[in-house]
Amino acid sequence: MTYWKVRPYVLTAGRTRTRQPLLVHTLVSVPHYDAVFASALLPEARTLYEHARRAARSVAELSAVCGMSLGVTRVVVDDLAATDRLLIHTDHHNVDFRLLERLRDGLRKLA
Amino acid sequence: MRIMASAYQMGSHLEAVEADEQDPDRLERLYRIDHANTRIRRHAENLQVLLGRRVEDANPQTVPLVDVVRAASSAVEHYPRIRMGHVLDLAVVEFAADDVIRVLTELLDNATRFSPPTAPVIVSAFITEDGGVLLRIEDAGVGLHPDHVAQLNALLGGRPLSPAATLDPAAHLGLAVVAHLAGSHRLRVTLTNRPSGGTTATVLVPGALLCEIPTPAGPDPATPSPVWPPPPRPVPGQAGVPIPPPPAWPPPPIAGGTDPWSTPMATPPDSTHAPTVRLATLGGQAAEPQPSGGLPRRVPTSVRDDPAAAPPPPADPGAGSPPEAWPDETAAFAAGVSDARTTSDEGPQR
Repeated sequence: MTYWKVRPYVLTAGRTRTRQPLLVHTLVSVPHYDAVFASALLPEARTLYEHARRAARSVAELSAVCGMSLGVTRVVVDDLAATDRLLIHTDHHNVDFRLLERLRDGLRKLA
Repeated sequence: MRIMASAYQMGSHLEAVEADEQDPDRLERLYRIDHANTRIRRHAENLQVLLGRRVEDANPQTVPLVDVVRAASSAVEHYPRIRMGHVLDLAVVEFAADDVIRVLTELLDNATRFSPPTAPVIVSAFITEDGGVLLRIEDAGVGLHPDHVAQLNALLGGRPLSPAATLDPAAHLGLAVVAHLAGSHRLRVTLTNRPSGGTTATVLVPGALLCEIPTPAGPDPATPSPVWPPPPRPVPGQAGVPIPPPPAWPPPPIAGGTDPWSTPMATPPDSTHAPTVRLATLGGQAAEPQPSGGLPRRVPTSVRDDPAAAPPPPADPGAGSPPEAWPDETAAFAAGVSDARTTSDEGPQR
């Protein structure tokens, strides 16, 4: 766990936006694990990299296992992806938007 | 003090909100508030230092150098320009970590403030041959006035400014904080101009203030340490090593109660670290028994030495208790021993 005086904005150099949309359920994975690369990473990125290495993980999952806020996780994932060390699975073709909309409408009725 | 406490509070509230915020814009604004609050905290802490008070840290802990650097950056206005160079995997011990962070904060603040707004400030940490760590902050600023370098280094070295000094002490409050903290922890802080332009600030942290980075499990035992002794206690029992001392000790508690094992007197305050494995394995003949809360476990093993250990009690308690209590004590002691024997038969022993 990071020391409490290390504020979250320092971990991301103040950035909150990512180059590509990273949703909570976006899956990321490590294509080729590189131990040397891992050892050179900052602690947060290293834990994240190690966790994503075993299997494809969602952003939300990584945030939880690494003990980082979602905002920080997103930027760390994005930075790793920018170096091609992390693969972001962006295909949302299997998402049926009509189904989701109907689901949403149904939930609204319930609420 | 109150400003500091409020800033600490606000910091923890902000952290909770930041963790929940999913909107990048709002998160960015929260970061700005957090950043401002962190700087308020820093200035409040610095005032304490300048007043000669020690800044109390509610939860001191060993901090890895990487985190020392980042914690220091957190309170610097232009923190995004700070780049981390090579920082080795060591940590600063808990009683000094916060002060090293404060020192580094002020030096980083100077470096970022007096260098071009686009130029990075690089901070790195190297080990020195005498086991200390050299923190190095390099900026690409205009550098210091040659006259001032010597004066500032004198200030940082804890020497009073000479009357001829052209420095305005009020303009260097940050360095005054650094000098103060450096003095109390024997840090060596120096500023040098680089011929190529820019200034390098170095902090030499003595080896005594350094340690290995605690493993993830490490920081936890630090807080619940009172909880930790119990787990090892079963071990002496399992070891099955005869420990003669305990039988000598039940008598005093017996005088006060019928159940020797539940008597609070059986656990003097100094006994918390007594029941170690080492005592059980090495201290078989130890003359100074350390009674403890672990008695129920340890006594079964002592029963083996019963014939040898039983005699001492008559001599012992006589000194500490009135003679009329004596028969009761022996009876209770015998009861205790038989109790112990039964428990040992059911046996945690094997």
